Amino acid sequence: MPGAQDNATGLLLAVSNGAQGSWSKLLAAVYRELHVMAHHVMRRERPGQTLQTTALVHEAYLRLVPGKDARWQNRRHFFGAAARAMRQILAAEARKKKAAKRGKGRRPLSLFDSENAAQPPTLQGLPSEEIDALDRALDKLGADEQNSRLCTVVELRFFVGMTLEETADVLDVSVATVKRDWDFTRAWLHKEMTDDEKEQDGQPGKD
Amino acid sequence: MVSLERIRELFHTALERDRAERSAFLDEACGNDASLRAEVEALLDSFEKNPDFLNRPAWASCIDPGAEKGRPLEDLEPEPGLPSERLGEYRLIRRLGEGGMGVVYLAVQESLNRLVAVKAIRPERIGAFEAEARFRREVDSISELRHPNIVTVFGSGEEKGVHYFAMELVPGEGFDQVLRRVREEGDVIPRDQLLGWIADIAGALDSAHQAGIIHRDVKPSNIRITPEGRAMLLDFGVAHNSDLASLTLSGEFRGTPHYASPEQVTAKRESIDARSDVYSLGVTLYETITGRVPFEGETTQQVFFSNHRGRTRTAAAHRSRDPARPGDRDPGSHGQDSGEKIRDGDRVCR
Repeated sequence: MPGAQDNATGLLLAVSNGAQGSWSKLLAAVYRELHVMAHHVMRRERPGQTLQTTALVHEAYLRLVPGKDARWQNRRHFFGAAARAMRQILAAEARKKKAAKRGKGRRPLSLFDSENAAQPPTLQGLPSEEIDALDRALDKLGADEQNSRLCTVVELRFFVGMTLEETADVLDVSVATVKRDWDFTRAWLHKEMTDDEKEQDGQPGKD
Repeated sequence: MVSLERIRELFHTALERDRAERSAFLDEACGNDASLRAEVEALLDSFEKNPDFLNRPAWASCIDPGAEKGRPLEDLEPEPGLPSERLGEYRLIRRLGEGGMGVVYLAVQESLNRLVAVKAIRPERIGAFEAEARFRREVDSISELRHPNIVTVFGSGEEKGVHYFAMELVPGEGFDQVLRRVREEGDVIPRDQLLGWIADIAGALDSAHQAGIIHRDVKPSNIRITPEGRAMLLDFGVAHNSDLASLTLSGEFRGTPHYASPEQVTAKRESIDARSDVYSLGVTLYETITGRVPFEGETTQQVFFSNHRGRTRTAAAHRSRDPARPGDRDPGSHGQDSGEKIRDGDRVCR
C-alpha cells in the first residue's frame, strides 16, 4: 500500500511540525492499519492465543514508515499513535461486550465485525468492565496535557504489552523514568477506578 | 484538583523512604495542606496494595485459564473456529496452547461439571500412524505417573479418529514467561523459591525415571509455575519409555535444541537415558542464573554444532556468585540422577 506509506510518513512529519489536526489523522491511519493487521493475525494464527501485539505494532511501523527513517521523534509519534489505537480497539471491544451482556440473544462478540464473519476471533477472557473503566480513567488523566506521557506509558505497557525497556526506547527516556511513570500512574488509575466504582454504586467516595 | 506534578514528586520521594519515616516526611512536606497529604497517602496505599495492577498486558487475559473462574460453567460459550464442539464428555471452550504433538483446550467435563484441560492430536496429524502412536504413548506415560508435580490424567479417548486425553487444569504461567518477566523487571527470583522449583521438577523427573519414562524435552516452557508457587512438569509429548522400542522410525531429533543433551544431539539414541533429562534441567538452571542458554545459535544446526564441538562459559563466569555447573557434556559426568541435581542446587545455596 504505497499510498498508506506516503500518507503515514507525511503525517509523522506534520505531527513533528505540530500541524493542526495531524495527530488525529495519524491516529486514524494507524488505527486502520492495526485493525486490519490484527484481524489477519488472529485469523491466521491461533484464536484464543496471545495476539503478539508488540510484534504487530513493530510490523505496522515497518509497513507504514519504510526506509531508514530512524528519527526518534517519528518513532515516538508512531508508537504513541499505535498504542492509542490498540487502546481504542480494545476499549471499543469491551464496550460492545458490555452492551451485549445487557441485551439478549446476541451472538458472541467478535473483535472484528461482520466483514469476515466466517471465523471471527473473540476475546472471551477480556475483562470488559475493567477495560472500560480503565479507558475512562485514562481519559480523565489525559485531559490535562501535562499527563500525556503517563497515558502513553500505560498504553504502551498495558495495551501493546511492551516491556519497560521497549517503552523507554520508544519514548526516548530512561528505564527508571518509565518505571516511575508506570508505578505512579498505576496507583493513580487504580484509585480513580475504585473511587469511580464507589460512586456508581451510590456510595459516596472517601473525600 | 491539586497539580499532579507536586503529588507525583511527593509520591516518589515517600516511596524511597522507609515506611516508618513516611509519616514524618509527609508531615513536613505537606504542611497544612491536608488534602494534598490525603491524596498522596491514598496513592501510596493504592500502589502498595495492588502491586500487580495492569502488570499483565490486556491481551494476556485472553489466555489465562483463570479468566473463567467464578463463572457458571454452563455460561461458557465456545470460541468460534474450534475443530469440534466436544470430544467425548468434554465440551471445548477455547484453545490454551499447543505443543509439537497436540493442541490443548480449555474444556468442561460435563459429568463432574468442572474445568479441565483437554489435549487432542493436532488436526494435521490425524491419521498419521507414527504421530498417533506417539500421542497415545504420551497418555500412557503420564497416566502411569503419580506425582504432585506432574499433571494428573483424568481420562482418554478417541472420537471420530481424534485421539485426546483430559488432564488437570494447571493455572499459573510458564516458567519461560516467569523468567522473561523477571528479567525485564530487572528483578531476581528469590534463591529459595528457585531452588524449590528446581527441586519440584527434579522430584517429578526422578519419579518418571523410576517408572522408566524419559521426558526428553525438559525446558522452561514445559514447566508451569502455579499461583501457589509450585512447579509442575508438563508435556510428555516426546517422552520415551525405555521399555518400548523407539517409535521415532525416522530417527529424527525430537525436542528443543538449546536444552538437548550432547547425546541427544549426536543421535546416539541408545545412550539417551535419564541423564539427558538431568542435563536439560541443568541447562534450565543455567539459563535461570545467567539469563542465557549455554549453547546459542540461529539455527538448530548451529546450536547442535556448538553443543557437540564447543565449550561454554560456566555459569560462574556469567555471575561469579553462583557456582552452579550446567552439567558436563559427557553423560557419565553430568549428574546421574535428579536427586543429585537437588544436592547440586543445595550447593548453590551455600
